[in-house]
Amino acid sequence: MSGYKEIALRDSCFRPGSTLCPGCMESIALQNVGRVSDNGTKTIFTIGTSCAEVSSLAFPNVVAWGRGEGSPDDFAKSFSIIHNVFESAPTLAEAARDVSDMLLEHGALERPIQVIAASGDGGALSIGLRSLLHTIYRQSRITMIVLVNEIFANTGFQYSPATTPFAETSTTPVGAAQMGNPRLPLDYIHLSIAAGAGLVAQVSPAHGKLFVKTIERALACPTTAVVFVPAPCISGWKFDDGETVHLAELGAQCGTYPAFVWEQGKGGSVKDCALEAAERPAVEEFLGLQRRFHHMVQKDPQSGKFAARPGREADVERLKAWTQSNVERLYRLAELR
Amino acid sequence: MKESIVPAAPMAHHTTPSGEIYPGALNLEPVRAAHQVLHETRDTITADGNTAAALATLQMWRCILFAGFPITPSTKYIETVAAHISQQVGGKKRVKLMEAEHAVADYLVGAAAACRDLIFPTATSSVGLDHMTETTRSLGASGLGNVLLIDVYRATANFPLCIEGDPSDTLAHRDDGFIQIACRGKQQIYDTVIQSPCLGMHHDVMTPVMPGYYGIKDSHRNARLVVEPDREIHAFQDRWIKPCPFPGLVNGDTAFGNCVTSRHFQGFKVSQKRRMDRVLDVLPQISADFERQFGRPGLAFFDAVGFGDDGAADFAVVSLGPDFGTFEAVREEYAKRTRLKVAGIAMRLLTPFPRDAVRKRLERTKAVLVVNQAHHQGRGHLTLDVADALADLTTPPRIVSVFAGIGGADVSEITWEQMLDHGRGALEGRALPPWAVFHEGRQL
Amino acid sequence: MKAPAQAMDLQDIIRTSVLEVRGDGKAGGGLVLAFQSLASLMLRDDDMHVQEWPFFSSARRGANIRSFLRISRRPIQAACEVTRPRMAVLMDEGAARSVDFAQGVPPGGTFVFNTRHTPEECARHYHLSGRVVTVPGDDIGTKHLKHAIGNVSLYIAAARAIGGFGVEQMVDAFLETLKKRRIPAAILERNRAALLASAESIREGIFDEAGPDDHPLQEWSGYGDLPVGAQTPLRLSQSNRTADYAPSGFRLRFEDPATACTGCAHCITNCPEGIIRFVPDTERGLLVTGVDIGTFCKLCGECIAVCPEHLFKEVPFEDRWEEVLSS
Repeated sequence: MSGYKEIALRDSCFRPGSTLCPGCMESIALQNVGRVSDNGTKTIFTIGTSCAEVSSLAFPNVVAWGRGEGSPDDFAKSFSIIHNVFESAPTLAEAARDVSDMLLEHGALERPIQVIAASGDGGALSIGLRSLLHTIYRQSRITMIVLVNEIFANTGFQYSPATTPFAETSTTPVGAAQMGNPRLPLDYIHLSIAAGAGLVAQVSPAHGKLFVKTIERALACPTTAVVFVPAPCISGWKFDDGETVHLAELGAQCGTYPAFVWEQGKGGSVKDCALEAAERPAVEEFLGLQRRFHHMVQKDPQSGKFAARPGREADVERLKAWTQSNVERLYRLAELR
Repeated sequence: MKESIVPAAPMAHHTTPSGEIYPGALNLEPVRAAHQVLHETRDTITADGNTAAALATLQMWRCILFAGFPITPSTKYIETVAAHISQQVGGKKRVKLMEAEHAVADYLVGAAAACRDLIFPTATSSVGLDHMTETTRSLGASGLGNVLLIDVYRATANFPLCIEGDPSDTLAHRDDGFIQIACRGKQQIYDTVIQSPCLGMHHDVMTPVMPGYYGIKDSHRNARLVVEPDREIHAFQDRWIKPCPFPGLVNGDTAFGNCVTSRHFQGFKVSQKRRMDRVLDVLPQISADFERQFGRPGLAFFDAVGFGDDGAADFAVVSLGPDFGTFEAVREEYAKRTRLKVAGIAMRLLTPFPRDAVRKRLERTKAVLVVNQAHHQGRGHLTLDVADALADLTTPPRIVSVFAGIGGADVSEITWEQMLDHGRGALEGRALPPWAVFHEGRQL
Repeated sequence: MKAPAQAMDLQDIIRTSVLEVRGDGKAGGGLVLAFQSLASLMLRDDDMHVQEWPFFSSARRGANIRSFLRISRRPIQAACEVTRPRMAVLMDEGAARSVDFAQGVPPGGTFVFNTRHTPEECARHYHLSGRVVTVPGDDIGTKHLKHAIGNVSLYIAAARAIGGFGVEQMVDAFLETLKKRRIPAAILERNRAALLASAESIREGIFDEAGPDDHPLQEWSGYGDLPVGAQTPLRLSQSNRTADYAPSGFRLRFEDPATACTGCAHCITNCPEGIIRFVPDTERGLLVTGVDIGTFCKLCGECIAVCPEHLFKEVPFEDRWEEVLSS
């Protein structure tokens, strides 16, 4: 059986019963990370304030975490999760890693521990950029998962440094004087590589096999592994039911968040996203499925395809130019060793 | 493709209200055995306040990981720790230099939660403590009594900036949820740091401790310090520090840091407050044991001077910190000259404020002079605490409130005498303003 | 059938004290919008005072939410929760599975439902004494707004039940609230049509079906044993029945009579809840045998979208009421 299917047989530590929106990509991602980490090594999970946290760690009765049905007799299947404040997931993870390693070194602990941190893009790239980059810089042996839905979703879908240009958010609304987000997103992949990460990836469960394989490689990374997970947000991006995985795939293929895996010393590659725009799905098709871009494109009733709204042609071209530069930049980053 | 994983032998675990704990996962004896001794015998050395605090933590076998960030006037704490560890060939203790105090605080949370039977200390001041605030307010409620956050008092914040010491930083963090203990003099600093984790990690308390001392006036002045042998410190702490009854990240199956709605939050705060109240019972027990073992006083609610056997006094000073020592130096002479019974208390336990003990100490005093050393919008933090403590008396002493020494301003002998003269007015029935400020021997 | 009870005069309550209204629904179902519109409608009368607010948990779509509204001719001072509403509104019958929406309503109070059932069926099913008002909001929503969203109709039914305003005023107040949310003009027009159609579809009656033990107010018995620092065991979500998040009237069905499942495992790895049941098959991979829909399926639709053989679908599903079956 392939690794991908064998992993699906494992016990995930992320349980059903969270209060996340139906179809939330964070839920899908955490399910899968939970399965990959069921690998004979105990896991400590740290999580920053986010939708994922408030929806899975509520008291008294929503703790949607835990492996197996009862507390496991097998220590490696036992599981801990900690939340502190918004930006603290990488720092908590670094501390858990250092303490575990020191206890092992002393002979006070016999079993190895793997440490996984998770934050949203708000928690990792805005308020938490300090913690993220310094944990990477200190080469802490953890896996950091950044769930990128391009907004601060938990507080009501506000702009974040990862927001795609022109996207409507609650703090970059579309009005007569403004067409949504006026900024370009932060180049978080380049920053992570420059800070000294051992592995940097951008991949979602829409590329299922690549996702689980990347998480496996991340858990084996001797320094910091950072995996950015494009996480289409049904409530924030405003799309129809059942479109989450589809949008994760389409956005990667059209160049908004291409699948990318890079390891220090080996370089990397862009996957399933051609360098030439003509060989990629049209950006307009991606925009048209989400009401956060309703001001940019509309459906042509005859062709059935999406195209710029009258008056928005220049903006759509600028967005497509950014997308092209985004793809080109990742191809260049792939060549770094 | 990997072969299927063979599970290891099952590990025993038992249920607690906070999840499962696997006691067999960790054995800390090798950590105790790996400790490199600093002092084989009791020694007398000269040290400043930061060095005293650093030595106390270096001598504890449970302190193996020291996270820090520099800020005046606490920087020498982490420098002293780093210097010692750099000399420990084959030693396993580590210094972790973080990028900001907030990172230090978050790191302490992660470490303390990972292993709840080890102690994780740091030292900071003023804006450094403020930078930690969202995490200190969380730690105070967390049950992680194995965090030791030393505050080297310094005037808070900016406009203008001042690096010298007054307790405004600690008082600004009064309700973070930490147990706050003030120290004056090197011995108290050293002794308090040794006793603090015994208090914080006590199963009825489970609340982190914030010992503190004045920046510059205590942190940067050298004096005599008696250091105990490591083995004696370990014996003392081991009597008090028992394995945590709740799981940690490494030895547990558990979730920390959940969120609640208003339906439950108030209940959590009530529980937290009750655990804090237990300090009033547990602290004296630890203190008595310390005195038995080391032959000098342990922790206390306050230091008292000048009260006779009958506990009566005409006039008592309430303050804290090294400037109280200057009062002690002039007290007898002043009392003789004015023919008044002059006494005083220097607060040690600030939070929870020992109101019953303060009331009992001062109930047979006619007038009280409270000397505040931190900026306050009204009569002073300490004044409000004392007034509350005395409120239930049928005839409470008159309270006179003054400010002196803010931002580390010098509080000279003459200034003390001026303040005492001012306070004496209460005994003569004079009308006094709600508060007054004294500096350089003058009332402002 | 018992004799009809007296119903309270809501206008009288507004004149002499404070009318308290409470609504239950699911997040994303438009309850908050309906209550905001009711508040703004009331303020068209210069002498009215209102206080309106929602209570959320951390959940967004699908989870239970509550809304509150106080209406009076005098300034409103109370800031506490509404626990004895004279009028209770139920936006989504799915919400009534985990909460007693009628709790605390005194006998003779008013109940407003978004439902296909008749007022009599509702009174008997939910054990209600008082005035019962119903409107088939989901159907009207589907017809005019292409979406089974019943808040437009429920707003009209609630506004009618409170009284004091004409239909045009009710329509205007709702559309004004929509305009504030920057809804485009074409959709505003469809909402207008839905509002007017709702006004024609309201049914009501007065009933006395509540027994003395129905809808008891819960006594608060303390916080219970709170763990230190809110540190908890794991796996508590077993008791959080998130299947209630699925839109009312629908559920997921998996059918594979011809064993068409290729064992690709995409549904398994893309299910946010991890509730797809399967058995490993050495030749084909992981063969799906079903879905655990009873407790946790939120009907997100990802499995429907990713299955290459289209073995999952959304099917209509209705809770069959005894009251309907027996009458």
